[in-house]
Amino acid sequence: MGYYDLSGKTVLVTGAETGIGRAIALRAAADGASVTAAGINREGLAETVELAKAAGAGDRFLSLVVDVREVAQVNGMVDDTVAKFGRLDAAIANAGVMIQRRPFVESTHEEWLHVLSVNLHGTFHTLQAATRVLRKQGQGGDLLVTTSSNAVRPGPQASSYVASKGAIHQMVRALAVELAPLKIRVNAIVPGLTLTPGTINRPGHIERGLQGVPMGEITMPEEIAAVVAFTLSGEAPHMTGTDLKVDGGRTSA
Amino acid sequence: MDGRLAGKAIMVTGGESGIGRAIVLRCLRDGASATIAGIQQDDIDATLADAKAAGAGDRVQAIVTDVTKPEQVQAAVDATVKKFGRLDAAIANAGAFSAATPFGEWDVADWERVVAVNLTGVFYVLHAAAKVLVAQGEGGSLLATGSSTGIRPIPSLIPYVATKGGVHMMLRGLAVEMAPHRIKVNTIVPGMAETRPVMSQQGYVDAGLRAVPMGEIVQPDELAAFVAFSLSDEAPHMTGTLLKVDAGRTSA
Repeated sequence: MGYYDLSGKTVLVTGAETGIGRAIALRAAADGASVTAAGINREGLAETVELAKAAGAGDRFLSLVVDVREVAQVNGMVDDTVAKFGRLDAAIANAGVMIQRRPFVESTHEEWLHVLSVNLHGTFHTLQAATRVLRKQGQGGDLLVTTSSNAVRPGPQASSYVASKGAIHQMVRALAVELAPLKIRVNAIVPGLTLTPGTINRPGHIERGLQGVPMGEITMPEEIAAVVAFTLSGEAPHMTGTDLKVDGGRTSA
Repeated sequence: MDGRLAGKAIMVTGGESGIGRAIVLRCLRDGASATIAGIQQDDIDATLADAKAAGAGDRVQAIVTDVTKPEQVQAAVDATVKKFGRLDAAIANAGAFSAATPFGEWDVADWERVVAVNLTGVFYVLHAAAKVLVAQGEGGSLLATGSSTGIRPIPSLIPYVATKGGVHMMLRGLAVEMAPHRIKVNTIVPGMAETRPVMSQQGYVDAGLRAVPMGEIVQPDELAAFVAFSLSDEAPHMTGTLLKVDAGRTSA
């Protein structure tokens, strides 16, 4: 850790109470950024904060309980971030829900709407609120979205999840074009099968999933956080519309 | 020096100029040892001198290599292993560009030259390097320089575009095949980058930039930074990935 210098930057991460979001928040803080860790799960968020403090983030770490489905809460999250740290440099729309796989005919409207409300609408809310600030600052910035290798190569029995991830994947591409003149870079985080509570807690999910991963190994959240840190470092200022894919070869096969 | 790539030995074809040169200098800065496999002697001398001036010392060597000659490619790989004791990554970056030419006016000899360098040359490099990596049994990386035109073609450069498309698919297939060996295979995808072949064509940059949402040319150092990340131990499962820095060209 500490290879990339993110000092002076303010980074906002949703879904930071666990998994990939937590790893991104901790890595950004370790590399010197000021970080807003937003999440819906109060206990998970408290753990993230504890880990950040233990690693020496000190006053550079703000946690906020936020439901990304609620526009007002999302706008408040961005406002609070700017109020505390004075600016915003990057927003990572990472909050998302997975679902238990089941045949399409057995899936429900409620589940469909729930998945879309978090994964799609929540991402829209977060990116829009952040873009307003970045545009006003006039100094460019970074938007990142956690999509999925399922957005590129769908697995079965998860059509709502796959559709939501496919939608935000394409939204990244469109926004990369639209925001390029503002020097706002927009990139997709594309994890393969990753070790998170969401994958661990589903019986058989990892064993089954690994059969489709050529490297035969699970990706760690810290690997995703590392490529995000590279992105935020500005070492590649013209990297936009890129899929930051860490999937052990899943989408290549 | 950070030393994030300390102990790793890399070989870069086309390492004497442009993106290849940037990769060599960046990886040396990060602690790697590097073989510059190049063909232009004056550029080789200049890159070697810059590397030495930056403190690379004995961690750099140059081998004159024509990638269309498999025995020369093999010699460059052998020289890398001989001098540095191992090979960790091969970057098949040497490429041939061409002046924009309507399809009907392409000389068949030019088509054959572009294919020989950009596609067959990449095969020779990755093939020779893969043998070493598999035999070592410790993983490693294979990379090749593709192009944003391998995804979103430009007219009048059909042979170039075809070879880059071929490179992209070859590496995707190799990513799958090499995965059980823990060998990562990734494709460098530059947009319009500030290299001599691009800059030397009258009007090419101005016309090209109109299709680039950011409206700016990409610097070789940006691609080198992404390559250095992919070679590091921070990216053990990054394979089959397009290391794309194109200022939005292929998104639009």
